[in-house]
Amino acid sequence: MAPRAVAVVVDDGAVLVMHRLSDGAAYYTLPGGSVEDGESIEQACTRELHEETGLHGRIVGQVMTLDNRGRTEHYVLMTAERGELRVGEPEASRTSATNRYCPMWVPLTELADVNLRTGRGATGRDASPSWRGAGHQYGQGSDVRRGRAGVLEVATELSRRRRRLVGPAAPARVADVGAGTGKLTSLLVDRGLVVEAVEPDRGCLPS
Amino acid sequence: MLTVLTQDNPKAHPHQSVSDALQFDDASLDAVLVADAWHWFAVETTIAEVRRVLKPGG
Repeated sequence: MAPRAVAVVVDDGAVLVMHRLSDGAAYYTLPGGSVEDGESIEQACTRELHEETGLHGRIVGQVMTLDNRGRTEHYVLMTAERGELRVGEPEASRTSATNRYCPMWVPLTELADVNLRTGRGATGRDASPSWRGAGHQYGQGSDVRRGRAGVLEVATELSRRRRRLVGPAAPARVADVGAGTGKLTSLLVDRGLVVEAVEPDRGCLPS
Repeated sequence: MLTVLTQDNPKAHPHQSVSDALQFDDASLDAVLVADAWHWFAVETTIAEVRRVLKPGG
């Protein structure tokens, strides 16, 4: 089976998804489709993105590669360069009262909470694909993932990269008041925060 | 205590002060956190002081 190329388009802290209504089920998918003969994964992603959403994207890098019930899925990180969001073909001509496509942006922080499905067999209520970690490029590799776990993994990976994607934000400056010996302080420092530790008791140096 | 804190957390900026006379400018902090110490504070004056040093929405 031809591998599937999935476009993970991130812009201003949000991910481009397709909201789907199909036979009474409402869910979200990521834009993408089969890699055609003679096409690279990147070409397939760029083409599918434009066909389905009207946007012209630029490749940023690979997110991950997963095995979805024997079908390889390549998740490619992209940014939207230009174009207007619209429903492309053949989705537009498939649209009916019970079958709708609506491309939209979902904030990265909410991605783990939405009903996101991908791949073939993702149209039925209980047809979420199972996932295997074979070929997974960033994680440990061989564990079996089921249902939404693979999609959540993409979301997690994206969240991890979020700081880089949206540019470096100035670290938050926080005060730890009544810091004592700094138990909370060390947790805050580890999170990359600028920490002002306030404590009235200077104490003495251990001899 | 502050000495131990500084030794364990060289990246943190230590300030020796009480909670209702913080040594920070107005609206200069994103968050003020307290771990197991609120019961030591002069509550009303501390709340006013925290309000002063927090940024809008902080």
